[in-house]
Amino acid sequence: MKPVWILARREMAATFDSPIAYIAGTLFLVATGLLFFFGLGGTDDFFAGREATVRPLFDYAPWVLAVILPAVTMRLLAEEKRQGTLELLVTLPVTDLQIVLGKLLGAVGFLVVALAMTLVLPALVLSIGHPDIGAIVGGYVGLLLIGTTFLALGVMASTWTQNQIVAFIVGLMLCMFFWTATDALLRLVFDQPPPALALLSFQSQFADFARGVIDLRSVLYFLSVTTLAVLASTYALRSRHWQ
Amino acid sequence: MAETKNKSNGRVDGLVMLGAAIGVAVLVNALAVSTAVRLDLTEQQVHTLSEASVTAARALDDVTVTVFISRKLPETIPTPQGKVPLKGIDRAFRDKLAEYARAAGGHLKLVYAEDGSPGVGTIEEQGEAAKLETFSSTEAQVTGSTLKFQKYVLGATFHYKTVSEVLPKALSPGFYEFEMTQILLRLKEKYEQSQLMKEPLAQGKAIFDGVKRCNEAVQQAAKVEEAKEQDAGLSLKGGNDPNQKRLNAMQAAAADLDKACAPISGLVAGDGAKLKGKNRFGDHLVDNAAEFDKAWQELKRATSGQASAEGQPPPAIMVQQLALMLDQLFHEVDRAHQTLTDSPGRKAIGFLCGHDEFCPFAEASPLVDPSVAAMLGQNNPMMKQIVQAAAQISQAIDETNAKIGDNLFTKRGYAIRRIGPDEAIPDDVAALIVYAPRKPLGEYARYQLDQALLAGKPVVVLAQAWQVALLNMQAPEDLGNEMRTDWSAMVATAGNLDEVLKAYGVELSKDPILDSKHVETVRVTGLVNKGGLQFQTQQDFPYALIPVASDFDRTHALTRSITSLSLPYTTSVEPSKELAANEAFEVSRVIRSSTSSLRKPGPVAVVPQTLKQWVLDTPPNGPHTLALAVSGPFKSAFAGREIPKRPAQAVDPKDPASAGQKPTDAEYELAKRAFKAEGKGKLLVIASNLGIEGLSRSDVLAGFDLGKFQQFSPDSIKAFTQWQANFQNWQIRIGQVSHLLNENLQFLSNILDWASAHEALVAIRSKGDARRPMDDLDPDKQKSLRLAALIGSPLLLILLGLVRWRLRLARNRSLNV
Repeated sequence: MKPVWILARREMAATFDSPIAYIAGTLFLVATGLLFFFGLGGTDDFFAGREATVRPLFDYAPWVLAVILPAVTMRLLAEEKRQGTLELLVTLPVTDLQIVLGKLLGAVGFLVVALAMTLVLPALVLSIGHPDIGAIVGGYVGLLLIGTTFLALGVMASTWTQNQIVAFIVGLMLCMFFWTATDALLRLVFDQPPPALALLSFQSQFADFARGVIDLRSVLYFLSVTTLAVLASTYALRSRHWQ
Repeated sequence: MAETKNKSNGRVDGLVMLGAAIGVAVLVNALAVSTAVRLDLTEQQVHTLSEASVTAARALDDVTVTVFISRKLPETIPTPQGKVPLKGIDRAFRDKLAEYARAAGGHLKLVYAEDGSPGVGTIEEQGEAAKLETFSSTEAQVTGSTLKFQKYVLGATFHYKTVSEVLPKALSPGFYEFEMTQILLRLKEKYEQSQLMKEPLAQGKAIFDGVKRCNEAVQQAAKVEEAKEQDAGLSLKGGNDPNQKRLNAMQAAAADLDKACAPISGLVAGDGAKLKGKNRFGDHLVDNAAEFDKAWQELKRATSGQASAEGQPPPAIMVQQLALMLDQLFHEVDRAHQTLTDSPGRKAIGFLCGHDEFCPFAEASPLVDPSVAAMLGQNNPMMKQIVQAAAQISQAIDETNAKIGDNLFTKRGYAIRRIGPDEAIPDDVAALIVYAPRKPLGEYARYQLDQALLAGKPVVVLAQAWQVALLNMQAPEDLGNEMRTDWSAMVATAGNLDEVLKAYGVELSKDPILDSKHVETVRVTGLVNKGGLQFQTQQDFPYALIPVASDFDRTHALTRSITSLSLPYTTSVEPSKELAANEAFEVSRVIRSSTSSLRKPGPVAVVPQTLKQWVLDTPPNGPHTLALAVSGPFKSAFAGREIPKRPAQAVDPKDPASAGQKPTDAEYELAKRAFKAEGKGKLLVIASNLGIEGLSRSDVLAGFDLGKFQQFSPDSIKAFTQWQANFQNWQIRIGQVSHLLNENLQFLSNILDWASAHEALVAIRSKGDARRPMDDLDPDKQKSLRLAALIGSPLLLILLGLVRWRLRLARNRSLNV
């Protein structure tokens, strides 16, 4: 695991050395803050609700993450491929899986920092009322899980191309597909999706976290999608040997 | 060649590994679907079944739950409170039911209704047949020339042995546990009691089945189709008049109808006579069945042509009217039968009425007897109009009260009963609520309260010492002028609860409690002139007379899980020194106001801004007790005194025989013998009406006296205008605090659960009511907090970046050197 940590640290440092982390981070914080206080379309004033809750953060943050995180992951492997530094990387005593995991964990570091920056919102709510701390913790665990899954999908997209823009667009489409479209597609196919298939929807899986419940099924699901995305990325990375 | 083979093998190996990983992931997730390992992080374990629910689920040995969930639920549905999101609600409902099934350890079986095989109908149709409530979304479908809103259903029926209960509409996931546990507890009680009521229930069912058979036959014959008529050779006789056709068809089916309906008389005389007097719900069923039988006999006469007497409509029209009437009467019988089957084990909560209190029932008698009103109008058409309009106001009051009672209590599963001021409390009333009377309680009502308390029936008293109106309508001084609007009025009510409660060591103050910091808003309605047009506006102001309490006795079931509560126009209540010192009593200060609260003799200036400034300038003297619970060995307030005689009952037009009946000596002797001088009881006193103010005929139609209306005078018109104003004033007063009602109604439900001895339900309900109000913030503070949060964290991130950049520059420079 040591190489993974070394790679992750290096990747995280590289992320925070580049302006992309600050642009993406600022965009994430501003968008989340605006949605938290005003809702979508500015119709939902937080203070008018007169309720000490952080729920709007958990309602809107996954949307913003689905857009922002592919921008963070787009360069991870696509850029290495384009610049030819990937060849240098693979000469090191690390496996393809370790490279992917290292890249992913580095991006998770960015996610953790970005989420930590949003703690100002629960702090504000705590200063004006008594929100349910358990529900807040559950929501953040959910954001971390769903964010990690988005990152894994983004890394996967980044392994498929040398072009960052293409990687971003594919990553964005994947994240949006899992976040919004699975539900709609299932409903197109089934009148009443079987409960097992209905669980494919990210939104359904995330709903429990936002309420303060950590359900093993949801945790397993997000971890499964992340694992599969990591394996698919490894496979895509390895495919260079077969070309 | 070998290299190509290696590449190919590597690709295949990779794909196989990926495929295997997908397979493992699918398998693990599929297996996990049936597990229920959940960590509920919420403070009150809102999403985990409580011990009481687990016990309730395990107490029943064979429950089948039929679940009705529409195939495609809408994203949101409109309600009077706004759009309700339904995203994921079906999953929450399934999950909660599955939790109960697991908790019951195999004794609770879930059956999901499926769209169906022929004859079964859609899930929505099956749900409707099972007495579930359907709901619609805003999306409509155009079918031909009609616009049709799709109906949805989400609910369940619970069956246990011979009894069943319905969860008609499950749209509040926060309350699923409360609703389901309540149903399970109720099923147990209902089954146990129904075993003791087998005979009356069977008699009721026999009567209902007989009436149903007859009605089905009549309605079938009444809507006979053209083709059937032609087959019977009737079309020529009937021509094109549908009523005549109906008559013809019913004459043709007379023998079948007689066969279906003739048994009703026998059932009413036989089973009905046995049932009558045993159970008041049974009495109601028998009375309705008798009415139905009477209408059937009339229909029979009309069909055979016997009823075409002078002054009566032609038989064809009579038959049509009677067929309709029978259908309506059948629905009455159906309702009465449902009430009877639902009655085993259901204890009623009595609401004391007749003192201008909150009394959620229609009055027993109309304001003016229709025959008297008709006589009055013969000489004076103007007076007829006024009396009719007054009767309409009275009817509106009755309908409002009945609707409130139905929506707040009956539909939530409480059986409530009106206790008149001259009425003894019946045995099946398990608890008594005295809800904010604004007139003094008479001796007899006080005696009933006293004896109920000593008999161990929980007594809940809510007080309303003040009536606050920020906009008050008044009749004009001169006829023809518009109604006057007098701003701000705080009027003391005439209740005597302080006197009544003193006898039990409870000191109820009449001084209002104000607060400078922890307050809710009052909603003020006003008229604004804009461009020559008048608009009605509503604005909320923080209001010192609506303190928000958050200091609760956490050991008491009522307040264990409540975070805050707004108590409009509350006063305070304290135990007397003797009561507080008496160890035999358990005294709990259930709710207390904040330390920033202030008790001051009323009335006070009620304009929000003036009051706010005054409260800020006055030193607080809180906290004060706003609700007090006392249990222990109470002594009767009537010990050593002559107990009061029951007054003559008010005239009940439905039962003229009992009108004005006075109690007999024997009845009085019996009452004297039953007198209890002391007994263990539970008393809860809340010094506010929770914002729910009674709407009573005597308050709105104050001074209504038919005798005064014999002659027309301008005073009659003025009195009438004032009644209209009184009705509007009630609406305005309710409107001032209507935004608080939702939360306070939950608390009221807690009170009813506590009074019905279902303390476990109180805690479960409170889990669903997890509202956490934020502090009152002025717009400037809101703006600065918003700005700090919006700019603060991005700024911090950018600063971090700058620091990191500067450090890198410095490091690079040192490396270059």
